[in-house]
Amino acid sequence: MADFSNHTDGELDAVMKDSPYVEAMPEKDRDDLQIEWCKRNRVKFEKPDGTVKYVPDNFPE
Amino acid sequence: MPRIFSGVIRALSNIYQYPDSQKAAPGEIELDLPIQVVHDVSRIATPGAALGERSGFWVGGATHAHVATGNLTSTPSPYDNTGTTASSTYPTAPDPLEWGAWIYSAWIETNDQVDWNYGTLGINQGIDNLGPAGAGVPIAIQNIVYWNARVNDYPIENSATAGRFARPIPLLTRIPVSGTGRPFLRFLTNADTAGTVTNDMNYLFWMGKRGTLPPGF
Repeated sequence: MADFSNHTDGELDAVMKDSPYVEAMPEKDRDDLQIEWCKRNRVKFEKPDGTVKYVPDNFPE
Repeated sequence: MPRIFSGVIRALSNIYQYPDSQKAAPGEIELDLPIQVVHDVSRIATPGAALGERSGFWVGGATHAHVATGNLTSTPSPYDNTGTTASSTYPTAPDPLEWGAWIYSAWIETNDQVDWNYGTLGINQGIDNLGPAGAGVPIAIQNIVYWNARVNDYPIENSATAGRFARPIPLLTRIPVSGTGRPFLRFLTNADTAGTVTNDMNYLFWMGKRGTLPPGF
């Protein structure tokens, strides 16, 4: 499991903007990166197959 | 009093006591000028103005950074219901019975017109402590914007680095706001290719107390 929780917001943004690095990641690590970003930005993340990977607390549906 | 002055005063008295002169006195003139109601925008156009700290125009938005494929959904709001307060948000929302918001326009920009797929912008119809949401009924979402990168339902400016709606969407919808900070917008975007698609949504709205109307109404 990739752990991005210790990244600062700036470091996390830098990782996400590094397209070649992101595209070379295993899908699981890429999901973990997206989940960490969603946690910090109160964004819900749902995979194309309908699997919900992250939902912020008290998120209105 | 010298004679010359008394003569002058006597002459002036004759002038001002003459009937036609009295008709021309300022108090007798009827001003026939059109009265035009002027909406004093300067008093309400900014937060912290005449109607209270929350009244006036606001801008807000959300960013979706698609590193993985799938949907990202956020609920942008001028209120922060997480307990933290950013410089652009209030920790709590005003009483929904007393306040309303009118959305003027919303627009979306993307940095990658190839790898993003579709998106919607909607309004949360139910709110906490008022209406169906308080009874445990799921909040209804009324989608007000739908767009598709491939179909191009809305005109999007072509750009190598950024695309955006060429035309902000006039909405002018009154939205009740919640005492607990229920976000009133719902922004969803989808990317079908893992990459670094970033979509930005921005909106302009006006907030005011019940009984007040935005400038122009």
